[in-house]
Amino acid sequence: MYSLNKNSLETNITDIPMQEFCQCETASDYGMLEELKESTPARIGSGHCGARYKTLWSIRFQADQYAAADAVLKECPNDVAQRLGMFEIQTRCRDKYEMLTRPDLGRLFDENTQKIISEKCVHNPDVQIFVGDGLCSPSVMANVPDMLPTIKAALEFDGIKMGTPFFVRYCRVNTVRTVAEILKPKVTAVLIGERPGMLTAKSMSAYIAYNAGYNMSESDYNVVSNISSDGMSPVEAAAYIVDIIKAMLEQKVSGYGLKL
Amino acid sequence: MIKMNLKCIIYGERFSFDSVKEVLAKANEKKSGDELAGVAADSPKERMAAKLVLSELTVKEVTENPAVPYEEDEVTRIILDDLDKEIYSSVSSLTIGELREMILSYEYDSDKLLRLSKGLSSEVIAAVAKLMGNLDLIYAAKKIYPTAHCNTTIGGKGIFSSRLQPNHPTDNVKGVTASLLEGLSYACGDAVLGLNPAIDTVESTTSILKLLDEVKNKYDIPTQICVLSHISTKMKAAEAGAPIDLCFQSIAGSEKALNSFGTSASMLSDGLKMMEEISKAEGPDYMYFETGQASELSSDANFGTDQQTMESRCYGLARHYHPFLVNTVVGFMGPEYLYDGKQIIRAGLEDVFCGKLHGLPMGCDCCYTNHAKAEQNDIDSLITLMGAAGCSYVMGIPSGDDIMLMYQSTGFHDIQAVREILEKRPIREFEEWAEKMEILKDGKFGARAGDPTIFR
Amino acid sequence: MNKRKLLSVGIDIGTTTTQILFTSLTMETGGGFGCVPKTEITDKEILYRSPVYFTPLKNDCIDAEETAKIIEKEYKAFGITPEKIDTGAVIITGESARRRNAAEVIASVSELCGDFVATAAGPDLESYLAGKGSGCCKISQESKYRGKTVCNIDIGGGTSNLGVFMQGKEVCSACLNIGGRLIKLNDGKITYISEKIIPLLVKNGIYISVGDSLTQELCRKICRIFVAILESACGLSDTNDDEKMLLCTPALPLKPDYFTFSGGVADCMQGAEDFRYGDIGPFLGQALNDSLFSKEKRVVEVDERMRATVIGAGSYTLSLSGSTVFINNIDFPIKSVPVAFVDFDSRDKIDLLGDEVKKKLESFGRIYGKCAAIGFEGYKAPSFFEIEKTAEILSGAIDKNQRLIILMQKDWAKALGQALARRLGREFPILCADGINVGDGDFADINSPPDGTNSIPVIIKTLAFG
Repeated sequence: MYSLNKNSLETNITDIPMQEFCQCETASDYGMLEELKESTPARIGSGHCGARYKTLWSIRFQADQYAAADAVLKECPNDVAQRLGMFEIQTRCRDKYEMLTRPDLGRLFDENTQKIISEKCVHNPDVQIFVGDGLCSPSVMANVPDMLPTIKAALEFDGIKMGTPFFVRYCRVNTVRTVAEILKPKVTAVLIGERPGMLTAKSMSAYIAYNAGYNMSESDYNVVSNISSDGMSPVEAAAYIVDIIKAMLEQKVSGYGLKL
Repeated sequence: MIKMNLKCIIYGERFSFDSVKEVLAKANEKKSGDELAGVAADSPKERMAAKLVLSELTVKEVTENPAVPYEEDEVTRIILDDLDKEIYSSVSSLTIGELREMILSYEYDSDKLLRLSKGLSSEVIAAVAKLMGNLDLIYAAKKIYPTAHCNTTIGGKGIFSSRLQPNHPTDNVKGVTASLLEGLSYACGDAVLGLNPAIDTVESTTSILKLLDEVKNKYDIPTQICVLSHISTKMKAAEAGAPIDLCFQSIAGSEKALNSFGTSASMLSDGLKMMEEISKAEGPDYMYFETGQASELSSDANFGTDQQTMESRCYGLARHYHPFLVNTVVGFMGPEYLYDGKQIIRAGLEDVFCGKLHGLPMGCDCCYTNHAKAEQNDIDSLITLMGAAGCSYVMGIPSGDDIMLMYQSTGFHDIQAVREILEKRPIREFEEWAEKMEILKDGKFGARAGDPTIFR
Repeated sequence: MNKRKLLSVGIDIGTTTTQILFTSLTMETGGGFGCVPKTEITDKEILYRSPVYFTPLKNDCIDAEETAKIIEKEYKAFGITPEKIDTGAVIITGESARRRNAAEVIASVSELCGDFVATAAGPDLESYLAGKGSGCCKISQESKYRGKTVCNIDIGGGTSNLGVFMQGKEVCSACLNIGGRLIKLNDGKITYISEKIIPLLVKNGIYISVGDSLTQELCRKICRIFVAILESACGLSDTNDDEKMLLCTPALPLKPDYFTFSGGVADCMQGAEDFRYGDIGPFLGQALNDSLFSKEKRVVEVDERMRATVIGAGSYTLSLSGSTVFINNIDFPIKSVPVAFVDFDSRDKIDLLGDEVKKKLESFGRIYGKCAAIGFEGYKAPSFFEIEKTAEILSGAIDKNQRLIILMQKDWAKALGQALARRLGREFPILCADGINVGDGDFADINSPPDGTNSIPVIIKTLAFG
């Protein structure tokens, strides 16, 4: 467990796993305390001064919360699409503020953008995959460079026709519906940053649906979440997503009805 | 029928509105959710005009123009059918402005307000809130002390309780236990030991209920337990013999929104009936409801009504089932509905005022998600204001960080801090238990507070 | 959550006693929103315990035929046929001399047991199974014993098996020729003395032979010598020269902090000192009561004594892989595949992987005459490039005429499996599973995922037959 004797200025405190971060100094059974700490990433073993938190505890909390909030508001770099080998488009949201307050606009494209998608992308592929910043921009560069090639290699090997990938700025999950209406793939999937919690600020989710479109229901999605180096590793998640896609193409269904 | 006056002049400008619904919506304080729904005032000027018009509408006019028509919506029917006709007619000709003054006046104490509340529809209560500033809401809410009884009594003067929320990403029994013991060691959980399940299945619900029951019995803790799974899961778990004190359900302010949660008024009635038979608790109050502004909008079931009015209707529905616990989860829905700390604080105060004026022992989950423009300092402020407003209970989560729902709320320390600042106490039996365990002493943390390993 | 029950059998054929036990294992598959469904064994319930049989012997060896009859009888008594058994283990335990014909015994009983029942023997496996079955392993997880080692001493007729656990994990094991039936009597006269202990007795000035009568006093003396050796073997006293004479494995490399006792002799710790079983077991049990183990108050009571090993065999042999695995063109069940473990637990070791795999597979091929599975640890969050490189190296290092089985710990088996398939072709048989702890030279029995799950049941054992 993290020792309080260490100098907090020389230890990267945000890197210490929560399970090892303990400031309870009055336990009657330290063995049990350690066991409790190991069983959950919750912020337990806090100790207290009066009815308030200890100093380092409080700083750690604020630091983690700041990182999470920052991950939401941070823009993906301008060259993110280029680095991923894709082209970039934007939803009807003009900025982060609008993206956060207008989920309805975060799934739509203006006419010109729709034209770009239609012109630059293969139509009617078996699988259309695209990437969105969602609620966590840092998750894109942290995961997509390992996920997309893994998916691509596996689908190609199985002779499954993959559409043209692209990056969507200010993207909400239901962009899937709009993209599916334009390109008419059999399976549509978005790899999108998920709302950060305080334990990790680089997590991504994949929302995948068969025959997606305006009329689908939320329960038609299959979701893989918590993709990050601390959660399900991006390569293994990608391999699992490949299986989901193949199952959808075989069973021609997604959501609760899909057998995996 | 005399035609309502929906026009006014203010700032030298003329404003007119088409319906009571529009007046209510535009009189609402600025919320991103109302803007998203397209019902908000276009400008602060128009908002003021709406408030002015609203203040001159009568109780009768607002009551007779519910958010969703009586014939089309079971929630409206419950709200209006439950009104005490005699009390209603004694105030029906008052204007909303006059009603506001009456509620704030020295003459109206807790008993009188609780009596009055039986004649007020949810829309009327919502309307009054729209004419109140934050301090008005705190001042008025503070005067009302509704109580309810399950194993212990929630609410009442000077009592500030907490729900211990030991959530875990996979409902791992060891992980849940760890947070549970930490919370108990900080004197949290007098309202309920209540877990949000990650997995809504009968097996998982049953195993967590058994764990909570075991801990409650082993340490002889005077409180109640609950797993917040869907009401239908709960019913099946009960049939399978799970120990159940309370029946939980998320509710919303219209029949359509209720249905989108997979529930209905009749299912809630069945739940209550079942609890009266099988609950292990004393009762007579067995229900636990959670609400939150904009859940109607998010399920496209708001009928052009603003989110604060729809939220008030949840309380009109809730009081029909005389619940033990009701709380708003005020910042959970995200910035598209409540953009920042300011909007979250405002909504929390509105909800607690409206809930208490419905006669409910109202609690509040003072919380925010990481995509809202809010931070823990906003929640520190809100929980303190909640204490001042006489909110019955708040959430106790390890350091306020919920690792399953991925949002931040209030921590164990925060609850005790507010108790000390405002000279409040947990429920008496629970306090005695905590004193016996040396967790509390003279209203402060005791020698063994914060040591979860005292529960061996 | 999806629940499924597996019927497991445990058969312990000891050189003294034979026991059979049927257990119901509950597997649950669950997971929250967006989680990959995870399957775990959540409950173990013993459905049936056979009586304790004395193992039939013939020419001082286990009588394979008669033993098979006992098993058959007990399957009937429980009302089950071998096809209904999902998993389990037959384990041959006790004095090594008497299990010279273990392979023959296994051959004659394995068909009676069921298809996916592992057959195994070996002192370390036996030690660990007894420690799990007795409850010692679980005790080591209690907070009271945190950071401490807890050693289960399973004392049977011919051997004492020491299995050391720390926080639920196997640490080390040892085996000694100490047991309750090393001397047998009839009417006070000695009918049998194990040749294993004769040099020890002679060294201690005890000269007895078959036909002699054995006084209680002399019996106590012999048992005290045995216990002194156990005390020394467990580090409670200074090393005793006698210890080496009875050790059949290397000694424990550490001194355990706490002890639990199981096995037939442990069952005799309560009760009178007499020759009621026609052996010295009750005297040995009493000698343990007066030992340093008890005096130093380092003994922890367990729930199961007599049946520890069979419970271990029936309930603790099966483990489940992670739920993202890769399976292509594999015939199940896979039985007794040896595991070649290679050192690959960081990205820095990737360049050495090819040579190591080649070397290991060659030597395993020479020893076992069949293709081994490859085992390794792996590391957290490999990149796409690293998966590709690993697959490239592995596919270059293996024998293309054999199936490829990879058993690894870290969660990236599916990604690696897909990358391997791209190199080895659509037809090539590949099994790549993670979440599995293996050691070099272990053997694995592997079955197909039960309906409704994606996890592979695996039994890891340290010795195998056939």
